[in-house]
Amino acid sequence: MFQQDLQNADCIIVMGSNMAECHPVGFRWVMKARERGATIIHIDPRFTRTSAMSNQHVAIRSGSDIAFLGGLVNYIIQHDRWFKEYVHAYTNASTIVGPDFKDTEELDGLFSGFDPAKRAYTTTSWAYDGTLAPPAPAGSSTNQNGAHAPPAAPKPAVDFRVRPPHTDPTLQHPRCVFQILKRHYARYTPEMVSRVCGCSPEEFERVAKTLCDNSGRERTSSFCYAVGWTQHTVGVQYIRTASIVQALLGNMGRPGGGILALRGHASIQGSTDVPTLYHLLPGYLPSPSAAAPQHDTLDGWVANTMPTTGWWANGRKYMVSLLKMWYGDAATPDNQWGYEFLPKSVGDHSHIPMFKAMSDDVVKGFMCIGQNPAAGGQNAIYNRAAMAHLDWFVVRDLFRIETAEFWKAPDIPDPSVIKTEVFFLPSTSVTESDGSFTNTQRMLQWHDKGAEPTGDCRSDLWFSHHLYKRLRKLYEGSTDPKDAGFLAMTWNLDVEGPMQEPKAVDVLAEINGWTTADRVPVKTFLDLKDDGSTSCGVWIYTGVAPAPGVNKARARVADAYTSLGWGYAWPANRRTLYNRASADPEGKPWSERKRYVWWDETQKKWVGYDVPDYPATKAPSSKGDWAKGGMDALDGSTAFIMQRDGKAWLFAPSGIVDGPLPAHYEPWETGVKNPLYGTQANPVAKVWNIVGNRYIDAGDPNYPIIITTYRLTEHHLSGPMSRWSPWLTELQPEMFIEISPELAAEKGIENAGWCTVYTPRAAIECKTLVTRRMRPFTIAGQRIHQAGAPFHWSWAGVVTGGNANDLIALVADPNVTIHEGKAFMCQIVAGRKQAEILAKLPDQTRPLPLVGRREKRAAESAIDEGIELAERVGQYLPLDHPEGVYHG
Amino acid sequence: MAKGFYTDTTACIGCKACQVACHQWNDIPAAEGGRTELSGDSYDNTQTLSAENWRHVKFIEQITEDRTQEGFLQGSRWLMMSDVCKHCVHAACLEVCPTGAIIRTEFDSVFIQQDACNGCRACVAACPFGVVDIGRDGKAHKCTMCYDRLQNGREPACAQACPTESIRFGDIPDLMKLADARVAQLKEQHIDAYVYGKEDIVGGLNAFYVLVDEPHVYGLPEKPELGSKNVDEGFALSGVAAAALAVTGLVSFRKSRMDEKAGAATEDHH
Amino acid sequence: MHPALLQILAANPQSGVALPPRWGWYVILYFFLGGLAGGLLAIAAALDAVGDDRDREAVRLAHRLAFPLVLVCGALLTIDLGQPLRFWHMLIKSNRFPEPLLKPWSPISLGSWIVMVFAIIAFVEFLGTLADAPGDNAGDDVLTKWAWLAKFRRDTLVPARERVRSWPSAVHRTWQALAALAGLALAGYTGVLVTGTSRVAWHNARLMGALFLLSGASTAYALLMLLLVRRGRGAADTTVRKLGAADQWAVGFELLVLALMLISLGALGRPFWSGGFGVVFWLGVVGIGLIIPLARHWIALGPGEHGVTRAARCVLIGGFLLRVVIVMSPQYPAVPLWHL
Repeated sequence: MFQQDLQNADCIIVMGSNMAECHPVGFRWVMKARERGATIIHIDPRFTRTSAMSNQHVAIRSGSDIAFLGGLVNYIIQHDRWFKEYVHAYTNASTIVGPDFKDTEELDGLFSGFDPAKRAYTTTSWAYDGTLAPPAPAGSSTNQNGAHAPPAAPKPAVDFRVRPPHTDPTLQHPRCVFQILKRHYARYTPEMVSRVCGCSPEEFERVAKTLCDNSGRERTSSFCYAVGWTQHTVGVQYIRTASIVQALLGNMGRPGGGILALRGHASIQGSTDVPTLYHLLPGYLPSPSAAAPQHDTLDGWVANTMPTTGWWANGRKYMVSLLKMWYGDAATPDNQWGYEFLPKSVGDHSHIPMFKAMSDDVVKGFMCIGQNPAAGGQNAIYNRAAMAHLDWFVVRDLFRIETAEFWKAPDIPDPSVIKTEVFFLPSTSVTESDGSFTNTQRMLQWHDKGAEPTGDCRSDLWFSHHLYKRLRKLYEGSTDPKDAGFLAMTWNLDVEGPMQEPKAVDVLAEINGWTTADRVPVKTFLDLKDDGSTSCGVWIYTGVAPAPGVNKARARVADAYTSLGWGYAWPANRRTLYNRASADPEGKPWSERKRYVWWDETQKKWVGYDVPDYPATKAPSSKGDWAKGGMDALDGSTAFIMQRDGKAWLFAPSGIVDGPLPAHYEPWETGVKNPLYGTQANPVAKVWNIVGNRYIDAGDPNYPIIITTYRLTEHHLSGPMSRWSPWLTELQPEMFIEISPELAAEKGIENAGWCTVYTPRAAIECKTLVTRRMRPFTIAGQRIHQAGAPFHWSWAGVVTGGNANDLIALVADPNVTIHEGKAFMCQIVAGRKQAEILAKLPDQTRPLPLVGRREKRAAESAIDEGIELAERVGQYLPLDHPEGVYHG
Repeated sequence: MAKGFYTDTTACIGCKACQVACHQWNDIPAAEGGRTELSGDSYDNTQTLSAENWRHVKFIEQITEDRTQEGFLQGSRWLMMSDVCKHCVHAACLEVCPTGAIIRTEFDSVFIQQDACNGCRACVAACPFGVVDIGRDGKAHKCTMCYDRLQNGREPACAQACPTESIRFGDIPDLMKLADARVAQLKEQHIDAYVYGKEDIVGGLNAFYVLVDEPHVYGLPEKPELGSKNVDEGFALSGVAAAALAVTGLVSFRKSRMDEKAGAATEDHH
Repeated sequence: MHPALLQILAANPQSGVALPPRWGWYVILYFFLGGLAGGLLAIAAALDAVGDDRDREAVRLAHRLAFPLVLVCGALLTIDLGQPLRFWHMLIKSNRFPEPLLKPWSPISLGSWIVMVFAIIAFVEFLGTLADAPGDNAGDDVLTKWAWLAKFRRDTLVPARERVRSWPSAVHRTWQALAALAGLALAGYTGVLVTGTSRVAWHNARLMGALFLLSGASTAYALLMLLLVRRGRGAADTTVRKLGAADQWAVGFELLVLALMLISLGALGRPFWSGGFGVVFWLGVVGIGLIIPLARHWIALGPGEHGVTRAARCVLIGGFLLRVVIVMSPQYPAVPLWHL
């Protein structure tokens, strides 16, 4: 859904998000909803500025959301509040699961297929009944040293090629999804929710009733979430539970209904679309993996990653078009369109494993662009220590952020042992270059350059372009096979102006795509082909620049509702995904009040307030023919076209490595024994048992206080965008934690007084805000305190302070390797006691000393390499060179 | 046509965009170079309007001990309010200003002309809302209602920046209608709301508020009076004192002479 | 929000919450010296009107002092301004030069004109003392030392004064009344200025003008007595006794008005008499400044002149401390004591 659509919601639940503080501009739409009479519910451990605007605030302890949401699923089913026609038609509730499947109820918290030695699931038993293909390569990357583990099989073990899944429309079959779901959440009663989450059963039931009363034909409800859900070892499962709730209630794809993911940066959506992720190619095409033998060839990759039914059956066209754009004439039918040029991933190359690899001297060089791992990384001390192992290191940012001067960190006592050569290449800010943002609702908006850059500041586009040009020269003439791809790359950019700046619109044209022969822009991804006649950088963006000189991202025609004339939302300018579901199986809106997209019998096409997320002329009455594959395999009432069976998945037979259904697991660090299962925490969470990352055992009395981290409106992330601006720093000048008066009394801490917070990883000193907005919880009969820490401070900037990210452990969700920063344990004492406490922490908590491995390498050769690189990259000088200093 | 601000505090999310927009538009430097101190007073580290802070967001935590909340603004709640110069219809600062620096503009706002002010601080002492203050340049400063923006057909920076339209700018009568409607809507939800800034408050405020608790909770006076309210009485009482002084003085001066004449004989013996 | 201010607001809903104007030592000194100057001129006018020849010296003293004092006052006021060079903006419209600017409802605007008029009158009286016989007044040796001054005196001032003396008594009476009025206005308006603010403790103190006026008079009486004694007039001297009697009345009224003012203020007046300034108030303002002088017939302050001078000094100290407490205490601790 899109943010403006929130105004049409009858109930909005903000959970795993502090929307008013972190998305204040988008929050105006929640306020509009409230003006129209909607009920706003905020579920969060703290009473925040979002809670202040809500009709109901329910406090639950950090890390217990699945229990609450699972409780909602149970409530919906037990009270018969699910939207029956919707669930029957649009979800896989009736699909029957294979006979080998065993649920957490049967295995005390595990699903079938768990291999304790590998700490991974083989997911074949989760497959739909009768559709198993030969088993795919096993395992997920849940080993202890992520960078070196065999990677996950990127795609599912199920194979629908042969026939559609078996279903029981009566929903009575014991192995149909609906019955499995019912059994799975049967123990998530209001009393259990209260036990696990710390709210009262009445509060929970009030939420459930409100949500149910505001769902159905006439009314819709929305969830808004952010990193309060994602930054957990079960983060993906949090979102899954919400999607189950919303699918049961029939809110997905409806006006004012659905789930809005609130992304955190201006263009982070773009960063996953285009992407800066190791496991994806542009447009969410899976990256080829060296561990999957099928991925040796393009055909094998297609067979392994692309289903034959549903929209993704077109996947080959997008891959070939992408390869054609990247490799141009060098991409031919003979070399599989250049597929063999593509590098293949050899493991989990995400942030944590990458820094582990740095620490192990495997990664020698690092370009850090617009990111601040020295302060913003989880277990930031570990990040800093890892960077000290690098030979060379390029930082691009607006200010001399902590990462740019990581050796100045307070916990690095002797920087002279660090041999890293650091280059600081100042970047422009957004206002000093052309480009686009893709915001949280998938909308591209163009921004024009408003000012000339000063001094040495250059845009990221400039940097990439000129880096490429210089590298290209260096690689010229190489016959090494691994360089072939780089040499074959096309590069279509011209430069203009005294700074030789590439034109961002040229990049947009590549993203949009064109016909290979004559470079006529492609109007829609429907026109993309797999025969090399089309080239396209990002298929989901196709249509943003459909004709020369046309840039729909720049469009600014608003209306009262969907504003299709404002910006360009992918795909195809659809504002709400799966909006076919806003009409019933016959194509009529579920109600007049919730009319959105519907079938026009006269024109024989889908019409409405939005671009229909459905083949335009596919009639509701059309029958599916599985043998035909693609969209023809699905009938006219399958709204969720990206799934191979066209259904919203209540039960996920594939695609997720830690379970087809969400179950409540405790956070990796917790003070509570899992009240629901014998399996304490996510059995396949990614962990790193390494020096500098000691975990506590569950219930460790030395760390009895739950702590969570979060943003304040006044600052942004680890500080580079806010702690250098006095107008912002004066609003929130000092690092502080928030604790309840009860905890303050126990610890003897005064409001605005100093305290020290510590975990096995680190200790930080900061001020304290004592407030009733924080509260202790009663969980499974025991009282547990909860504290909260903003994570905006570190040692560089106008204002400095203790860094909450130092406290967090490296432990992550197994699907996407996102760290668990929202629920862990700590201890708090009054006063400034950092030195005292650090002296007492066992050695195993401190990262490796910085002497050792680095010194074994020939210091001179490292310096030579560094100088050479500097000359190659251009006129840029090492950081401590007087002329290389950036005057901020 | 009088223009001004209507602030619905029930829509304020305390984001402080108004404070930042004001600083940025008017190019006012941050206090202490941005290195202020954590006040401990909820999320309010600005603490007061001043010559440098023309907008100030206040945070009032009203969380009950048992943390219960029956509904929006019922039971536990966190009130937020963006304070600003009230641009009073009867402005104490304007009334007292001896240099005529403080004037009323064509928009009915109260404006301090910086080329006339000589820094006597009478306005600082007169404002019952604690708005005006003297700056480092020795002159009085406060919200200008972005006079320069108004003269160019724009709305003040804070109103434009406010993401939830808690701060609205426009013609006072239109805004008052909106405010009354909002009060009615809140009352239906059993919230004790009212408009602060109708004629009963120093003749009316061109920056008025919808509040849900008593004024003093927000740091506002319930019945603010103009500084000049007691001036006439003060002069009158001074006159009485002067009269008493004159009488006793004159009598003392004459009486001594009379006494002296009478006692002249006895004095001669000394 | 300062918690103390919030408490005041809660208990006294009509209180304003004006910020402290940072009126400090310059303003305190101005209030004190202005009261003194105003009192001096008023007393001189009264003594001139109904006194005898023995009172002449006191009149001359007052006339000699008033103008220099008001000059100092003017300097203090100017320095205290945030933009001192713009002091004239309070008298002339700065954007419509040379239109005069007067807002009679604003005590500070009215006051700047009062100071102006007072200064003119005081200057005339000051010139008058220059026309006195040399030796009559202190500092007269200057008259003989500076030749141009001696010439000016001989050729201009003395003849002018003769001419003025010949004017009908109605003119003299009017002039004396004007001078007295100007003096009393200068002494008292500053108190009304304090009332004309919204600062807690100031706003509702309606008697502040009366209090300052009385204090100005009592300190002026005291100063004159001190100076007369220094010039050799004894405690039994008629002028000294006259002034002493009038002073008793003034101090008595002052105590009464102070008491009435504090009672009427109630809790709002706390800054004056409790907290950081409580000691100064009770010991300094009330004890030394009011009680001791009033009770000097019963307290042994010393024989003869000692009694007079000590009592006079007490009045002066008390008058000064009164201004300190009134001006400082409602701004404290927001404004530090040393803030000028």
